[in-house]
Amino acid sequence: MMRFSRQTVRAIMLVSLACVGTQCSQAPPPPPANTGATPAAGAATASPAAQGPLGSTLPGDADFSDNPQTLQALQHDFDVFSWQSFVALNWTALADGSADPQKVIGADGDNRTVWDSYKEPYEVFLPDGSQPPPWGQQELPAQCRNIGPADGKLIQMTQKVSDDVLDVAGQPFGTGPLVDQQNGRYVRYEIRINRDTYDYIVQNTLFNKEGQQAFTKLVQFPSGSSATAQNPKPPVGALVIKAAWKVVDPAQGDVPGRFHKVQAYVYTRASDNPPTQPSCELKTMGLVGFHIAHKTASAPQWVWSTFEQVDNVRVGHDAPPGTKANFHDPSSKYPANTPPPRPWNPNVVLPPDKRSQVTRVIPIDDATNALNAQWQGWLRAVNKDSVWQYYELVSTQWPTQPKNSPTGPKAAGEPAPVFLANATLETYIQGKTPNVSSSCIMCHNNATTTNSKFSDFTYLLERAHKKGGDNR
Amino acid sequence: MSSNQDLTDFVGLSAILTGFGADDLNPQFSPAPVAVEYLQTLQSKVDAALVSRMLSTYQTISGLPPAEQPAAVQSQILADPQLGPVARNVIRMWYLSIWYTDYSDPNNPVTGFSDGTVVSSNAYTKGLAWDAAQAHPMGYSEMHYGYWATEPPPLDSPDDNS
Ligand code: HEC
Repeated sequence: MMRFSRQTVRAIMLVSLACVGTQCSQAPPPPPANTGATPAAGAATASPAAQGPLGSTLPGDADFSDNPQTLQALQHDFDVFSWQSFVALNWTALADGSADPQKVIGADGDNRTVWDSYKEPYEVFLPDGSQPPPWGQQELPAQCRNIGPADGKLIQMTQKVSDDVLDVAGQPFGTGPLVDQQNGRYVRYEIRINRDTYDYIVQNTLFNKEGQQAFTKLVQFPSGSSATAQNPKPPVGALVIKAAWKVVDPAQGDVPGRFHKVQAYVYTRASDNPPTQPSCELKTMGLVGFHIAHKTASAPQWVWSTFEQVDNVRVGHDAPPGTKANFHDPSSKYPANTPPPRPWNPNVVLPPDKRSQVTRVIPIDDATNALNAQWQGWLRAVNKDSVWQYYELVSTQWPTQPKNSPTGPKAAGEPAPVFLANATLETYIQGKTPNVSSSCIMCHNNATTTNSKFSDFTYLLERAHKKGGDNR
Repeated sequence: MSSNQDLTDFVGLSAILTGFGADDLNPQFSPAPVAVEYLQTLQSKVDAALVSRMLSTYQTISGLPPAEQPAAVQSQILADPQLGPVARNVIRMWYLSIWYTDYSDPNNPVTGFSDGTVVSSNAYTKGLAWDAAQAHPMGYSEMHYGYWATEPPPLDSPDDNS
């Protein structure tokens, strides 16, 4: 595989991004909207002058023990934590991937994001189990070379669970592909891991099966903590993202100004059933779903935030006339929350009457809706054309009993809310039936290493291969 | 409908009946409080006058020094011919998450456990029998994968009985 240094090709990528969507401009990007930057109080990295609470610093811990102690008050605190994380992760990135202190999120409408330079698991768990390349380099499958910028985003998962993991977890997840209304195309998924997660995997040789076998300790990813006078730059801790993207094509009725967009290589693996050749296309993709899992000192069961584009299951706020929901058509007779008919072939454009009909089974609660309106307002205040105002938090799942013994009967820490699903990521397992319906923590509690040991709530480690390849 | 006072009394009485702490039975931040469901079940299955006599009897008992309360629950509630069977059924409900319909004959081990209803799917996951045994109900585990290979925490570990 070819290797590219991220830093040398970033500039190309930025120019191509400035030209995505409706506001395609040939001119260089405008000067920063906000140059009189002052660092936010207590921030580890400099943030621009006040834009409401918008800042580029990821919250380190989720410790709200000082606040009024009711379930609702704590839920609110965790929801604010989620929004802070969403904004910091989607903050305008500099060429090296770090947050641009000069440019507020969405100042140019859309922007290249900080998490875009996080690693993908396929870059870490290599087929031959070898040491992954250092942070900051990307490898592309052969089909994706020479058709666009060398470090374009690569999106390849066509179902929620990748092939590598399906071997281990099997079909009981009951998932299937999701197909958008506008284009009849499969939604694509990607996973990204931050530096602290990557470092822990590499330092402990957890990137191959032999390394996992040799690792006799309990897998414990690092936790984020909050800045203090003694420790002004605390670790962020392990943070993992799972994102869902759909094709955005104005010719098919998509409104590009309502999506965060990237130019991405859409890679389809070879498959026997149905017979599919590996392929790679460069497409404009819009973000429709966004999971964040973040391990913090006060939440060893991790904090689970999930966001969606506002038009997923209904037409959201301020939509121009004619806007259609991404995954719901009131006139369609296709049964709700049901995967498309087999065979599942990601290269086929599905006819309108077979496209996904998704409804939200558990409504977003009033308090979260109110918080969403507030943050969307702050994002709009930066730039009335900011794409970020069209995202909403579904909820945050957090452990109400985080200190429960990890070897005891309630190690999962009694998550609240009990059930949580993203309509684009847990589409087919929404609801309120214990052990059947989606609960982030309860399902991730079953995640293991390749040698069947608890892997600290992340399924990442199941992707490891043998040294020299599994068929060796 | 149950008042807050009813819930407080019900949880306080249940703590003495089950041996679990009131905070374990009704944790401060419980996202799906089973105590509320159990009280509603009790109130919908048992004659209202009997339930309110049981709760008011307990309310008086709760004014006693804590060390004297268990004996008072024994003599005034469990030994009472009408309240005793109801209280025993409350214990079963907490441990097994089942309301036994024939609670009037708890002394008959055959009919006393014949017909019952699982209170709810939420309650099914929260039976105290599982906590007491450091186990989990069939098909639902909040323990980490592979827990069976490690030594369980001490039985009295305070944080595991929610
Ligand atoms: C039914 C089980 C299940 C539920 C419920 C579930 N997930 Fe996952 N999740 C998975 C699996 C399996 C993977 C790994 C997918 C892969 O690697 O292809 C995963 C991957 C992830 C990842 C990427 C890191 C990792 O562990 O691989 C994140 C982040 C994530 N999920 C967040 C969430 C959030 C947030 C929720 C709740 C809103 C949630 N998940 C609900 C099964 C689940």
